[in-house]
Amino acid sequence: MNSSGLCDSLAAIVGIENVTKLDFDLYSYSRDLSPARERLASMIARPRSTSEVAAIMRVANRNRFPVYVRGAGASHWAAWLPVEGGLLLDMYAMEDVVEIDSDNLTATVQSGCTWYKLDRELRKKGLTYLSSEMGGPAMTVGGSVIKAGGGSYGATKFGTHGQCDVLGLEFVLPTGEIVRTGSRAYLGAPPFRRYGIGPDLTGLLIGSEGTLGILTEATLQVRPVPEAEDYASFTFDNWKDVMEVGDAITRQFGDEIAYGFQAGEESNALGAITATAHLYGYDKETLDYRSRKLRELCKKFNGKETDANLSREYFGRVTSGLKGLFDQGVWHFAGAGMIPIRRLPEFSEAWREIVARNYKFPRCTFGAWTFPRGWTVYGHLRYADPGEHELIMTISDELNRRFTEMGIITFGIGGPDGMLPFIRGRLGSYYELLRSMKKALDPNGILQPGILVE
Amino acid sequence: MAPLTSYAEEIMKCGRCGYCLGGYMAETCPARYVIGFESGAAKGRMLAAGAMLRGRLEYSPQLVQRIYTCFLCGACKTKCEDAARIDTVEIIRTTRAETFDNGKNIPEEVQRLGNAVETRHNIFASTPEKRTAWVTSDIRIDGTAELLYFPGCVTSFRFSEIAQSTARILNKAKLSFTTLGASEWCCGNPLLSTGQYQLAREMARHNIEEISRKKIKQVLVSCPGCYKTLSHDYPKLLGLAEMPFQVVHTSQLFQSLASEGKISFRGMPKEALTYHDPCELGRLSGIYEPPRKLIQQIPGITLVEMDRNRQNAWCCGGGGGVKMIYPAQASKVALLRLKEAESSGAARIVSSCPTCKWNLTDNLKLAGSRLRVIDLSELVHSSLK
Repeated sequence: MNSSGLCDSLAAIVGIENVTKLDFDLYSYSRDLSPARERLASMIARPRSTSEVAAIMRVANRNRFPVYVRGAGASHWAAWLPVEGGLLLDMYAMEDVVEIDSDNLTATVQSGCTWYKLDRELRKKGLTYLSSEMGGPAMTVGGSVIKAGGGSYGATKFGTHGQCDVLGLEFVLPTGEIVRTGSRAYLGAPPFRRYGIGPDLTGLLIGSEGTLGILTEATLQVRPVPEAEDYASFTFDNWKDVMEVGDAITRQFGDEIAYGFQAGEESNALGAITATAHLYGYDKETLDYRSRKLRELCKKFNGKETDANLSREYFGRVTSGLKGLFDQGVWHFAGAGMIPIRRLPEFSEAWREIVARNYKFPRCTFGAWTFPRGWTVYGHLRYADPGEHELIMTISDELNRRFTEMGIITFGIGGPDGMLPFIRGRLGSYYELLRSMKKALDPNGILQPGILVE
Repeated sequence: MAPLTSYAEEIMKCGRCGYCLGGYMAETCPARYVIGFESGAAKGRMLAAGAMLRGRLEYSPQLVQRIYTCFLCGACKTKCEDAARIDTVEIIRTTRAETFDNGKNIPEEVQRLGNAVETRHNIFASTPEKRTAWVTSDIRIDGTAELLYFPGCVTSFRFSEIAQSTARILNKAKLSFTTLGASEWCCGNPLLSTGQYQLAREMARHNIEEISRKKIKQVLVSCPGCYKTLSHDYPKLLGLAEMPFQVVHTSQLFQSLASEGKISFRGMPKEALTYHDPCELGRLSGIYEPPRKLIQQIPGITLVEMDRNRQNAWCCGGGGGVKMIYPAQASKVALLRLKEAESSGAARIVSSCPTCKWNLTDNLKLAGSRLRVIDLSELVHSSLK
């Protein structure tokens, strides 16, 4: 079947108004938040239901047509760009909050639902989610879960997506079958539990970057809105002290002192590390204890308390989006991923050496936030003008290479313009098994080809 | 008009964060809501504009349609304030100007609009003399006044009650005013919205000359489109350092008159009203509070806000020329706003824009709504002591 025939088949499934191969539509989806170069799909479709996704996949599989999947396109390592052309599925039309179960404290949403929309609906029932990325309104639940994203909102307590918030998924296999995982897989059972009989197939999808199946629904654990919250900000002059604080506040595993704790340093102001903390409690006494404890720890490790509004402004904008996002230039993330709790000073030192000392690049942040017994770290470089692209790519590649050699667990892998060149060859038998599983689930290799699994 | 190439750097500033997409499909961008694809929203439009700059796009009928399907409501611009501070509205208007100048596949309605304004100086192709048909015998106009009332095309030719209410309020406040009469030409806003900058410049030049000839100090407008065009666009179009007169919207002047005690209100039957922020008055000109303060001063009237108000207000669907070119899309957007107004519990929607009144009223039946839509000037006039 040629692409016109495929377009007709897709139109029969989703409606003619939800399929396009017009050049300006293709260009409008050609980039994401990453610096990856423009990648054009051959056509785009907007499914609105799981059954439509399943029907699309049956057609695509029959015709061996590549399919790429995208939420809001907010990946910063080229996870959702159509590397080989093909069909791009815009999942944003699947934005419904399917069910909020106040008894089991769960919320089931379509994968294109944003965190903003979910939180808005949850709060009407006095509930909220566990953790989220700081991606503002344009970040979908599906995009976050399928890449195991996270941070920094709630990350210190609940970690990345999938660590404790995902209870079950619904996804469509590359061959078109619909699968449900967790307790939802069993007839009549509500989606209240991730683990059921047999292995954790929910975990198989989390972090798969859409290569094994198309996520259509996710059930998340939610929680009551805390009664009390507090914010605090500190400055430190070295990362070892910051690391000690992070170690201490996550040592009471399961009863972490902070809900969010993150720190950052600018390449043109080494030694001036700003840290912000977000605390909550279901009663005031608990919050008071945590506030006092956090302040004691920061003081013990030479932190100086500053204006709490810095923290309030940062964590308070989780759903509305950070303010002044590109004030210092468009972002270019590099060296982003997870490291063990006590290795923070090594990574910060490597970043200082590459960015601040070797390249003397003035507009780069090294940031870190804690999750239970670890840190997520990142560098983000900012453009003063587009002509800096080559320099920024050079620095970024060096940072990615060094951090990968040091053992960072990258945020995501993505495709040839993402982290794949740095990760390739470092995954051993795990990667071979992943390839075998991919082959079994996607015999024609049509789903996200070139992403994660080569 | 600055060419699209002059915006190349600004277009490159888009970091593709997606704030302009909104937190859900119907939250921020009405064009995205009706189109579905990201090419409707500013993020997609900036990428497409980049492709245009590199000569990668043909002016196909579909591209031209997409370019003209933006309500120019400025919701994306507001969202972008937190990100790259890109003047998305100006860039989108410029892509229309380039499209219009290219001349291929221009919608008939756009050409008809240009012809109407060029030959009759109003957007409806009505005879220019009909522009003053709203002036009834009880309305006192003083040719020597320093205040000039500029009703605009939609008010003059479609909603004479807005102009009459405005004039009667001024008379009641003993504030002398004059008009340009049949010499008033379209302000040029619909031309700028559809990419017809050359003709808009002619309108600007004429109106400024006519107004200046009368030695006017202040121009009062009913239409937010006129307000924005006269105050913000004219200086840019004609390269003026400053305008020879001040521009004020009826909501601002009436609120001043009320606070100075020059008009006062009688007790009205108890009623809940909701206020719809016109995009060009609110988001694009920053005027949110004067109409609200005014409504709240009327005894018996309770102002209830819709969920989305002020800078977050959802467009009525009447903006950007879309109502004229693609009325079905304008309806789809209006239906959502009417539903939101119904949810507020109000019996009437008050706006400060004749085009908002036009598009919302046109869609009441389709929405099955019992709401009534009135202009602020009508509310104020009917509540005067």
